[in-house]
Amino acid sequence: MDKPRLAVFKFTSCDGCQLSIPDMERGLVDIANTFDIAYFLGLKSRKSTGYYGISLVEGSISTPDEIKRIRAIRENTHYLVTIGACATAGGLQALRNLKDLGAFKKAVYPKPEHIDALKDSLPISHYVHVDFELWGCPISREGLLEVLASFLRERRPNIQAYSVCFECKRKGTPCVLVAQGIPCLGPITRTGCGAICPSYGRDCYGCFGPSEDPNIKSLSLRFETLGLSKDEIKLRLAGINSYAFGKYHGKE
Amino acid sequence: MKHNFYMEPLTIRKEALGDIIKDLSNRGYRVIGPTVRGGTIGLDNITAIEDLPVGYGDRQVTGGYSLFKHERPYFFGFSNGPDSLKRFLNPPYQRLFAIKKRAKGFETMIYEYEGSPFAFIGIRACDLRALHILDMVFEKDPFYQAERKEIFIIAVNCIFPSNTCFCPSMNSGPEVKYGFDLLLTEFDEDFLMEVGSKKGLNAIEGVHHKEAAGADIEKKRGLIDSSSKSIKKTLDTEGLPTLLYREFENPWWADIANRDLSCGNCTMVCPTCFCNTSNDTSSLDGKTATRIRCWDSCFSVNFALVHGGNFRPSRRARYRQWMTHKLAYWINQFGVSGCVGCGRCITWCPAGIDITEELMAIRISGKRR
Amino acid sequence: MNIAAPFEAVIKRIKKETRDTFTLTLRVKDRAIRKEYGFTPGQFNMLYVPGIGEAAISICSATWREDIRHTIRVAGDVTTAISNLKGGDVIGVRGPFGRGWPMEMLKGNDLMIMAGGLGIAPFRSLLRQILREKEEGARYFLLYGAKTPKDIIYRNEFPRYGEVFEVLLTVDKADPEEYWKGDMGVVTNLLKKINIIPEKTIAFICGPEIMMQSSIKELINMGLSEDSIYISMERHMNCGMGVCGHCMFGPKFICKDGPVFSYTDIIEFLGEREI
Repeated sequence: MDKPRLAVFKFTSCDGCQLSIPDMERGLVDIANTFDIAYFLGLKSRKSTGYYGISLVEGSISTPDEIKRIRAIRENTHYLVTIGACATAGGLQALRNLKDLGAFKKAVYPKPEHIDALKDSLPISHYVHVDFELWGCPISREGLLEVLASFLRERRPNIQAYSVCFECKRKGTPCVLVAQGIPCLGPITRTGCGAICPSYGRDCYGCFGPSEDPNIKSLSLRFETLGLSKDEIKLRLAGINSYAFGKYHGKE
Repeated sequence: MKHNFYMEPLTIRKEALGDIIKDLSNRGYRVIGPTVRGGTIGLDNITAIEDLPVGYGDRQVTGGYSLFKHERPYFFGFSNGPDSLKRFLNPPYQRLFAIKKRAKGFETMIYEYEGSPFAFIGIRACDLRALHILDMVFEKDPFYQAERKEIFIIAVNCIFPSNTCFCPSMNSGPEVKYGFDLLLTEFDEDFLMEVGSKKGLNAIEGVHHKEAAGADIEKKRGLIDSSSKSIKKTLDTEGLPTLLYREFENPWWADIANRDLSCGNCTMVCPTCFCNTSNDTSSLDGKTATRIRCWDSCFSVNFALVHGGNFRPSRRARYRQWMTHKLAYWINQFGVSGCVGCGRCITWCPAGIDITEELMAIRISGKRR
Repeated sequence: MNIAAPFEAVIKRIKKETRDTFTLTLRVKDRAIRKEYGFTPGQFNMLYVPGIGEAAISICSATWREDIRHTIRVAGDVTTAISNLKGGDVIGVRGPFGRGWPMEMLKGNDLMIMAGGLGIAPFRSLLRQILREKEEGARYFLLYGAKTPKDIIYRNEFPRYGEVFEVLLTVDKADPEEYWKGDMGVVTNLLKKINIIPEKTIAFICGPEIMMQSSIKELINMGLSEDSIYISMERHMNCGMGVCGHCMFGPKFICKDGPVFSYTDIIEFLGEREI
């Protein structure tokens, strides 16, 4: 049987998610053995065009040119997976959606008129149909391997969307929110990272995006009792996944 | 349950607990006991009494937990932390079996429990009730039974209950009455020790002990009574389970849903919550697969998902499912409440939801309707 | 044998029933397990495809047959994966699980079977059983509703059931070119066409929850007592043995207390929102 053709594409992003593939070491060998890596500029310069069985898409859409590119990729892809916070939720750069792009351009570039950017940095799913969204900043390698394994076996990925708290409790990590009064976003953040931050005694900052049913209002009330102001709470959510959290919180 | 004491009570010096721990290790037990971890008291491997949280106490409130130091070096001067026996007997990740594909069919390798039998130290009455409940839930589960079979239990009478405890309401504590091999009651200077099994008797063979005096028994009584009296939180079990069967449409459930974080913490720390999901993981080459059973929760959105729909799409229904299962369905299922009054779900709820207060609110608003 | 781990079974035959359902005939590989395996009509197995997962499927073969049959609708990942298997392939099986139809109730009573859609599958082994050992003097009814004539499962077997049962079929709709001469409409409508003696009739029902609820209502209107009605329920089953909590319906674990329940056992909870 022919190996399925795998492609990895990059849009507006830092490359961190796609780099988790070569970073897998042993896993990379397995991927190379089971897939025909047809297009992956981060790994090889030879581009093989055509129809891809699975495309992993990193990065958000933030220029008019990117809209054209993602549409073309969608047309040439059977199963399209977004990898990471940028592709899935617009990324850190989606913070610009909250403010005036023109002012940013002026502040950063000497000749802002050369910058052809869209007003908003948006997730891939805003423009094309996405078959599966893998959250995280960066994604977890285990998560990516599971997406690939499930694709090969034609089943839904065994990837959960409930809170980080599930993972902390399973691991036996003491709750930093309850035991130390640290404003942890774990209760409203999607699991998948392995609950790394709390295991080092610090708060979750929501890099895997909102959980399946986040009650942001209730957690905000708790943060207020910890002494955070409403603005400080807003800032806690205005990070890597601001666009996704904002959908639940209301754009403010 | 009847008292089940093997012999007259004894007293032992506090340090003698160290000898018992060493002896249990030598007999091949994996000794698990309370120990300080990240500002909490968790259950973990113990090799000597130095590993125990000697001198520590805890303050627990709705949605809050902190440690402090007693003036005296109490060995068990605290209440339950987030961990319970279920972490060990029904582990968060239980590998069930591994599959190797062959030309025709597949080979199944069942994961047998190969670890040492557990010896648990410092187990309270509420958690012994929880153990009794898990025994019923997992009666036919080969994995639980394998880990459960040979355990050794050193229980303690709980004389430092926390503010979130309400075991007297559930008739499950603070006094330990059954289900132990050894039972300790901590005095200022020594332990009163009671033996509950032949195994317990063997474990104290080499330990220096004295026969307890009548005054010691009275002292134990007094400590348990004052512990019991210091527990102010109550859960009114009157009318359960039918009370909750009348209240499925009580508007208060929606009020709870406004505060409910859907984070699952209550179910994870509950010593009797057992819900889980088994899933297959497969290798990229498709030649091997492993089936793993993992703690899950009725708070996950997809928990009651079937092809064609979700039976509990709303947060309101999911909280109702949890509380109704715990306080009502459980009675029909196992003849006993699923709540042991340990208060963990109250302490570890980041939103500060208190099951005793919510039941009260349901009760009151139900009467008004 | 560890009931949490599957045993191997070889697919002997695959029969397409309708556009989205098919029947598998399985032969358990291990001789000892094959001999030991026994079930009552209405029980289910967990079918397993390595690397994909398990699905709970009712057993539809005759109890005395060594080979096990399952009629499956392609719905989720597991059933899709099963539908891609071929004769000679091996599948994992755990079971049997749950409580089946209360066979002791058949004695001295008339039986009314009402099935909707795939709900006919948990009745097939019961139907076989009754063909073989029917009660003297008892009357048997089989009322079955499907979406369209093409969706009728076990189509060829109804003439045989008709030897013992009064068989009535209905469909929701039929294209003119299908030449459907039978009834159209919901399965409860069929009740109007038969005469029963309510005091000595027991009813077994299986189908979508809404169909079961309306059937119960109608039967009670006809004079059946609540404790003479039994239904087979469905929820997401993950473990099959009451330790995972997924299939809870009120205080019942569908997998171990059911899937077949006496109506009186679940009357309090049937029809409650998001139970």
